[in-house]
Amino acid sequence: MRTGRFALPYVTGLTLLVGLPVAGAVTLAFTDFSGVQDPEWIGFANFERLLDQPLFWKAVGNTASFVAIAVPLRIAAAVALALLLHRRTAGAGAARAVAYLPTVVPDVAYALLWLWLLNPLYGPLAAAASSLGISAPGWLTEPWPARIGIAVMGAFQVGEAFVVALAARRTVPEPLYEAALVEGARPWFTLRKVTLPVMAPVLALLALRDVVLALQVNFVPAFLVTEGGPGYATTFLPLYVYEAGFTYFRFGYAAAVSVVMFAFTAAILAVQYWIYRRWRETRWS
Amino acid sequence: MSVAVAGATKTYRSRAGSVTALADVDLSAVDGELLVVVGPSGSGKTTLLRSIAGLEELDEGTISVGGRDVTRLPPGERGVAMVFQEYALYPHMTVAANITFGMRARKEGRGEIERRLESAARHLDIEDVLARRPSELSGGERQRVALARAMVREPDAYLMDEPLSDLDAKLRAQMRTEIRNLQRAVGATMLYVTHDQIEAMTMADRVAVLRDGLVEQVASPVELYDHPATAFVARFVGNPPMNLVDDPPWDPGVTVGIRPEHVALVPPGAGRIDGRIAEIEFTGHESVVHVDCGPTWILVKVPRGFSPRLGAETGVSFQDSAIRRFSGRDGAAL
Repeated sequence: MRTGRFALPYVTGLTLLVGLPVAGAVTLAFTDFSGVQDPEWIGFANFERLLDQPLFWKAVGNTASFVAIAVPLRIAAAVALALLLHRRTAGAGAARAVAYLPTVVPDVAYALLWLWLLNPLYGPLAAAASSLGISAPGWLTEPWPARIGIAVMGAFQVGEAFVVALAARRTVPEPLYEAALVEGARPWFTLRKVTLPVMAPVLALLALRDVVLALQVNFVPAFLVTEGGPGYATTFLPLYVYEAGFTYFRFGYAAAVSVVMFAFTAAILAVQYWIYRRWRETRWS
Repeated sequence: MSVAVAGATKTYRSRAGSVTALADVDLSAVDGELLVVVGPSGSGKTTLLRSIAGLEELDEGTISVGGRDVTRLPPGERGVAMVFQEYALYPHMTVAANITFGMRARKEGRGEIERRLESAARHLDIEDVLARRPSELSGGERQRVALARAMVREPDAYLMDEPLSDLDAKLRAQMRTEIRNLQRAVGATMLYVTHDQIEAMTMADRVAVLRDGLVEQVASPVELYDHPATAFVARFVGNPPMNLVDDPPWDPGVTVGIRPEHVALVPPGAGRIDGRIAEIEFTGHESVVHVDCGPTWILVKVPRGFSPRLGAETGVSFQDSAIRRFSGRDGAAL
């Protein structure tokens, strides 16, 4: 009873801020609603329509490839930073703060910074490449470099995952490393056989969480840096939803895409969890 | 193979100051010997063991294993195996994977790995738990797994860092015997660190007593008990410890030591000192009587059936031959 009372503010907030909008969006997904006339109940028509839209499938493909690139990249970045900076040595505290810094930069400012960094004419990366006598890839003008560019942008904003990975690394008892050293294990062997497996439960959780995050964080860079292009190459599902709703005022259709995106997220998480469970059962030896 | 440490010096420095963990320590264990290094917390015994393993770097001094200078070699190339205080078993691996970890790291052949695993598991009677994880084992089984992991290494010397401290008293006594038997069976050289003097006395071929980074005495358990080199060793070894009386009236300027079993209770005025019985500890086949003699307390072992009264006045008596004399200045035996 007392526990329930403590949870009340949270449950209230969750109901008002998440539950009701979700219920509204799901309801809206079965309507034709432009924001001007009243919503009209049309059953599954929005879902049938989106299955016929080549751009929807393109957005699904873009999103899946983005997740496939961004999530491993972000987890690898967070783990690498944690492994490099977990020791309490001189300067490590400052380095940890620097590693976290990109995460606290507002998304829009961060996107504009990258717009400048990746600019093919006067950006510093292009200048550095030309000074070395090589031509930089057209980060914002070619499909795959644009997708990879957005994934790379996200790989620097891993402050929270870094902190979690750091905490996970610090829970690995030091005697395990000493035992490995005395047994003559090389650092790479110890990393593969001790560090990563002991951190695995936390890393799996991080990966699950990062999939959810990766499906959403691509909106700002895709909207501001690449504007969904070139040739819809960076039109990810969130941007597709946004355009359907706020450019073409097809709110019902946008809601239907949101519902599909939710199912898409849940499906990826389920597959990921299944893989992790299988790995844990078979590989932990 | 023999293990020898010469002139080992190690100082830990921090902003708060520096602490000397080892001060010019010379120590050696001969081939096949079980040398127990004992001392109170902060005496440097664990630092010494970790330095031999290569987990700490000495400021000065040399370490050799089997006559080979290993001072500058990484831990894995020193030919030693170490058993840690909390076992340091890999929690995510099965017992078999834990035991074979080092061999797999060194890329030894599958056949050889299986042969040694089987042999160690049989020796330590853990064949039934090879597929389990450490969390599914009892304390004693974990201890055996840690020993097996050291054994399959077939090392030149075993380094044991308080390996029994996490076990309950009964299991500790059992494991003491098992480790001793194992060491004899494989004829291994073993350096065994503990703060428990009973462990030291019951297991060792020789005992090295460390204090504040210095070796106080290296001797067999019997020699250590009967002829302690310093007042510190006299008090540290034996349970209950040796009675030490500073500047007694019959031998001024020195510290005299008498083991509790060499002291007898006599009527007041009939002994060397008078006092009052302040405490009686019943231990089973005998009791330890604490006699308050003013500036000092004297412990006396009395046989079962002899039941002095708490608070009674008494005298204490002992033979001259039982007395050990130590310098009042530095505690060295005279």
